[in-house]
Amino acid sequence: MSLSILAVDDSKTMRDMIALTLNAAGMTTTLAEDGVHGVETLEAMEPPDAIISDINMPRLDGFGFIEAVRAREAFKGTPILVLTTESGADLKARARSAGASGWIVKPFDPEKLVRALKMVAG
Amino acid sequence: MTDQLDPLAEIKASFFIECDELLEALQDGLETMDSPERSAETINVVFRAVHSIKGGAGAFGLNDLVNFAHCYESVLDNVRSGLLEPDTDIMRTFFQAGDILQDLVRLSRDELPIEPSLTAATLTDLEALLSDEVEETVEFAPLVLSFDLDEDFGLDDVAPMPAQHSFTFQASAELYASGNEPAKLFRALTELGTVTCTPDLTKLPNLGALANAECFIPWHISVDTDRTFEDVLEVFDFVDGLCTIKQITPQTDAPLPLIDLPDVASAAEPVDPAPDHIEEPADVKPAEQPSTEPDGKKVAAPKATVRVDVDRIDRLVNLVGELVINQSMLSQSIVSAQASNSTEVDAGLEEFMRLTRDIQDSVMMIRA
Repeated sequence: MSLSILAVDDSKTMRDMIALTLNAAGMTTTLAEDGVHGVETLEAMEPPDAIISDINMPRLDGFGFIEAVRAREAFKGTPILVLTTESGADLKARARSAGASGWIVKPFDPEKLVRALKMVAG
Repeated sequence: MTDQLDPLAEIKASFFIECDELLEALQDGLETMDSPERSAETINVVFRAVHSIKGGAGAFGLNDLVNFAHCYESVLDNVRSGLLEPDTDIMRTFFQAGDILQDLVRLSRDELPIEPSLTAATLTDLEALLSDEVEETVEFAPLVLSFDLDEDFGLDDVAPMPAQHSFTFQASAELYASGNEPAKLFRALTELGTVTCTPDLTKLPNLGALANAECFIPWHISVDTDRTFEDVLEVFDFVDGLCTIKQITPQTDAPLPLIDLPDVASAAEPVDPAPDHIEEPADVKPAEQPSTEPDGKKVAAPKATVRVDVDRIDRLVNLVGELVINQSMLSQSIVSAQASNSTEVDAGLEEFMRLTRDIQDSVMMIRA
């Protein structure tokens, strides 16, 4: 069965890249432009198999978005992968504490992203 | 260029359109930063504009753009975090950097050469604002999208060398708490080759000492594959910090030595709950870590520790990463040049690879 993924990133280029990669891997991708849009989209859609989130976003950043997702009972167990250009240990720790399942650094390797998603959601 | 790459070309064109919007937001943000209306959100907007340009440029291997944006972004991050208060001179540098970023975007879009002199002076000014931080050059490989994900992603033009990579895997409690499951990680390894997973039950305490939130079972894993150990490690990249992986390096061509297990009596003794991350001294052979004294009492061996700035560790890890990449390139160059007819070269290269792996493993354990 095709995996359903919600990807949240304020960069259109990144959203397009993610969609292109995941759609080519046979996944269904839903896109959101920032944390607030991500939460709204999540509540309006069928629960996704996994979520990808950027960190630096307007209105609600990735940390806030992950916390907001985890605060909702229905999404407590949904895997969330952080996809960002940052790789600092302190940021990773913060994301982990917010409830992230894993961390992938941009520019991402399509194979690695697909494999990680299959791993956490497959 | 084939039709298959068209979607990527479209995204690249779209990226440059997005850059125009981001540059406009950057310019507006800088003007607001330079006025009494400046707020924390203004600085965030400016930071995100540069950050997004860097992220997209990285995907297309536009390294001049990435490197400049990276340096600019680092200074803005210092402003964002309150480490740097922008005065008139600093704002002038920010405006100059914005102009240069615009030039870099234009030159990259038009695929024109970028002279180092374009960025040199402003880069120096920006770097001077990074206090004692050392700015490293960021090399982003262009993103290569394969549209047939059923294909093998390996380097098709390099003859693979079958190898067995063995390592220990210890999950932290956080790994489970964050929704991950080691079995899925192990299953992903099977895409690389034949995998053997053996639980090390010697770490299992008595029933009474079991804690449901702790992980007591390390795994010994062997992967027979034509991929490198780095490829194997990539499977665990996204759970970095949630587990500890330690490579077992074979010393000879002989089969891997079995790890000495404690005798039955000591194995029956409850052991301390496994810590989230195993901190081990430089000598990491499991067989050489006595957990009990001769009389069977547990040893609470004090561990010497030292505080090190995380940024310094990250820099060390990055440098080791570069060392590993250079070692791989050197190995490939020697193979390409067919210079490996010499036994001495072969032996030297093999030793170099082994040392590199050992250094990498040791350094990765510092941050784990």
